[in-house]
Amino acid sequence: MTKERLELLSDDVIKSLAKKVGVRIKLDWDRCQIINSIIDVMDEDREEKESLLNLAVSIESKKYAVTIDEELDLSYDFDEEMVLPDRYNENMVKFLLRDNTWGFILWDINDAQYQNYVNQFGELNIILRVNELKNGIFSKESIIDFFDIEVEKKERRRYVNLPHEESYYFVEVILSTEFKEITINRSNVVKTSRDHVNYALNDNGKIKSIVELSGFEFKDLSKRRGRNFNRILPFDTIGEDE
Amino acid sequence: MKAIQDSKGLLSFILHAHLPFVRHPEYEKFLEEKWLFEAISETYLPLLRTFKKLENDGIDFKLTISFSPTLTEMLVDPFLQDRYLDHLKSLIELSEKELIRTKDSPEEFVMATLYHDLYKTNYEDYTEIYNKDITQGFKYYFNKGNLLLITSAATHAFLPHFSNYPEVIRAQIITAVDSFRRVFSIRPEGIWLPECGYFPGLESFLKEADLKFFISSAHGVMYADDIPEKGVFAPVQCKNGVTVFPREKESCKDIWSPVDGYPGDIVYREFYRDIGFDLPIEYVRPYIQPDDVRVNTGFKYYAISGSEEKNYYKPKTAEKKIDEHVGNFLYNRENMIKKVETIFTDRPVLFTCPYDAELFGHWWFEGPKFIEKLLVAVDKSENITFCTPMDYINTFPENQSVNLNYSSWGDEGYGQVWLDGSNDWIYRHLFKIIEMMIELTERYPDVTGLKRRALDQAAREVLLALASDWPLIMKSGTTVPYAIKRVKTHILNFHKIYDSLCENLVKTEWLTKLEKKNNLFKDINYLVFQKI
Repeated sequence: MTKERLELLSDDVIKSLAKKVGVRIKLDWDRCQIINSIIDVMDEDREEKESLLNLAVSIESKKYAVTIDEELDLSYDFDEEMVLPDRYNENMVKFLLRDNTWGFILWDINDAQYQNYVNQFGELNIILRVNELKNGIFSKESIIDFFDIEVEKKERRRYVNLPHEESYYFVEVILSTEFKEITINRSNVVKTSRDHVNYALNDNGKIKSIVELSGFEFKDLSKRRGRNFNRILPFDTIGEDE
Repeated sequence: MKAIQDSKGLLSFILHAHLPFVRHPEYEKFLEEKWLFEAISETYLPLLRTFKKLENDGIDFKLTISFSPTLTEMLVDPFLQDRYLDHLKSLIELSEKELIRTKDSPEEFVMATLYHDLYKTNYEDYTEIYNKDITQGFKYYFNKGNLLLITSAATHAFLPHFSNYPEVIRAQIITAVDSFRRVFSIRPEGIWLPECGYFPGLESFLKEADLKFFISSAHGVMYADDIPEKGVFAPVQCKNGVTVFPREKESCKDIWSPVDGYPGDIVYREFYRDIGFDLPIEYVRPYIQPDDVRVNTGFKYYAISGSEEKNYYKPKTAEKKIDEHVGNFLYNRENMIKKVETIFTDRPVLFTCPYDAELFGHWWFEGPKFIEKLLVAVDKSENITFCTPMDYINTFPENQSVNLNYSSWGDEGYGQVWLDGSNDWIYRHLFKIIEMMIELTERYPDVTGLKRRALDQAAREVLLALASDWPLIMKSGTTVPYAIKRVKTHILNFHKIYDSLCENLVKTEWLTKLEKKNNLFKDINYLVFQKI
C-alpha cells in the first residue's frame, strides 16, 4: 500500500485499515500520523515475510510483483458471493507432512454421530492419537509408540511435531470417556524424512569430500540422537483468520 | 562443440517458465494478466532474440526450458494474444511520450530510447515472426537441437501435498503431457516438478507417462538412503530407472544470492523504481489500473545504486559488468571442476543449474544478455561444454540407483511454503473437491453431450484450484486477495457443477460461459481422475 494510495482513502477507511494491520491509534494522532504508522507496520510485515522466504521462492514471487501494493484488492465483481463452508460435517482425518518433523492434521466429526455418542456415553473428550509405526503399512501390531493430544470440539486442524526422523506415523481421531474410547477415523500413514546426509560407518574420505563440495556439511550423527522428544510443541492455529 | 565425454565440465542450464492461468475476458483490463504480458515482453521475446543472435553467430548452444502447461495454454490463446498486442501498443504509445518527456535529460533519454526500441521490436517479432504464437519460436530451436523443451505438472500443483491422492498426481501429469503434445507436437522427455517438490513414489507416475527425468533440489538427492558417490555433480536414478538431476548449489547461489548474487550488482537496473509510481498521476493514468491504482509500467530509469539515492541506469556500464559476471561464473565452475576431479575423473563434472525463467529479463533486466554471453563463452571454453539432461542420459545411461528423500526448493527444503498458517485453510476444500471429482468418475464412467462437458469442466476447475501459486502468494504476501478469490472461485465452480449433475440440471448457458473463460486443456477427459 503506497502512501499516495492511502491518502486517497477516507478517514473511516484509514482507521479501519489501521485496526486491521494492528496499529493502535492514539487520541492525539492526526490523519498523517495514522498513515505513517500503517506504512511502517506494512513495511515491517513485508520485511518479515521476505525474510521467511528463501532465494528460490522469493525470486519466484517476484513475477507476481506488478504492483507494490501488497494487499491491493481491486474488488473485481465476482458473480456470486464467495463463501466456503467452515467444514463439511463429515468424519474425516487427513495427515500431511509439512517438513521432516512436522505434520499437519485436518479432521472433522459428523455432528449427528457425535451427538449420538454424547447421548450414549455423556461428556466426551476429543483426542488426536499420533501413532508411530514400525513400517509403512498399518496394523495394530506394528504400532511402536503413540502420544495423545486433547483438542477442543471447535478445533479442526493442528500442526504436530513428530519425534523421529525416518519413521512412520498416522493419526486417529478418538472420542473418549473415562472408561471408553471410540475411534472415529484413522488417517493415512506418513513417513518423516531424513534431514541429513546418510553417512555410513565405513564411509571414506572421498564421500566426505564430495558431500562437502556438493554444499553439505559433515555432521556427527552420534550427537543428533539425543534430540528427539516424544512430546508436542504447542502450535495452536485456533483463531487464525482464513 | 566438444563431445560430452571429452569435456571436463558440463553446463546444464535449465530455465523453468511458469505462470498461473490468468484469463479474465469479463474485464476490460485485468491487473494480474500483466504477469503474462511482462514475462512475454521482458523474458520470452528477449530470450528468443538471444537464440536468434546465437544462431546468426554460429553458436551451437544447448539449453533446457520447461514450460508449465498453464503458461503454454495462455501463450497459444487467441484472446490473450490480442490482449498482449493491446498492451504492447499502449507501451509503445507511452514510450513515444517518454522520448519527448526525457529529451532534455540525456541519461533518461538513452533509456527511453531503449524501451521504445524494445517494445517496437517486441511488436514486430510477435506479429511478423511468430504470428502471435511464440511457442513456435521455441519449437524452432527445439527442432534445430538447441533447446530441450520439457513440461511441468498441469497446473503446477505442489505434488507432495497431494500424495494421498494418486488420482491427482496422475491427472496433473497426464494432462500436462497431453497439453505439451498439443502445443509443441512432440512428447516431452522430462518434467520440471513444481517447486522441485518430490515425494517417494512419485517416480512411478513419471515412468507411466514415459518421462525419463526430472530436476530435484540438491538435498532431495544428497539425503538419499545411499549417498550419491558423485554428489550433485552427476545424476542418480530412481529404482524404476527415472533419472534425477540434482541442483548444483554454488552455481545457483552465484545468481540467486541476495547478498552477492549477480542481479544485485549496483550498476544493474533497479526493479522497484518505475514511472508508474514516480510520475504524476495525470501522465501515467492511461497506463495504470482504473481508479488511479498505480502499477509497474516497465519504464525504469535507475540503477540499483546501493543506497536510497538512486543513480541513473547506464546500459554500457551494465554491459561491462555482465562480461565480468560471465567470467566469474565460468571461473567458479572451473575451480569446482578441479576440486571434483580429485574425487572422480571417469565422467565430466556436471553442473545442473535450474532457474526461474522469469528471473532473466523481468526481475534481472540484464538476464537475457547474461545468458547470451554465457553461452558464447561456454562455446569458446576449452574445459566446459553445454549439455541437456537428455544429452547426458544418452551418453551415460547408467547412473547410481538411490531412494530419494521428500524435498522441495522452498524455504527449509520441504512443504512449509505451501502449508502454513496463511494458506492451510485451502486444503480441507481442495481435498473435498478431489474426492468428489473421483466420485463423479465412478458415478459417470461413460457419458456424452452436456454431462460430459460439465464433467470435463469440473476436472479443469479442480486442476486450477490446485495450483501452487495460490498458497505461495498467500504466504509471500503479493496480491493475496486475488489468490484467495481464485481458489474459492474454482472450488465454488466445481461445487456448482457437482450439484447440477446431482440434480440432473446442467445450465448450458452458465457452463458455456465457464468453458469460454477457463478454456485451457481443450482435450481433457474427466476420467483422468478415475480412481486408482
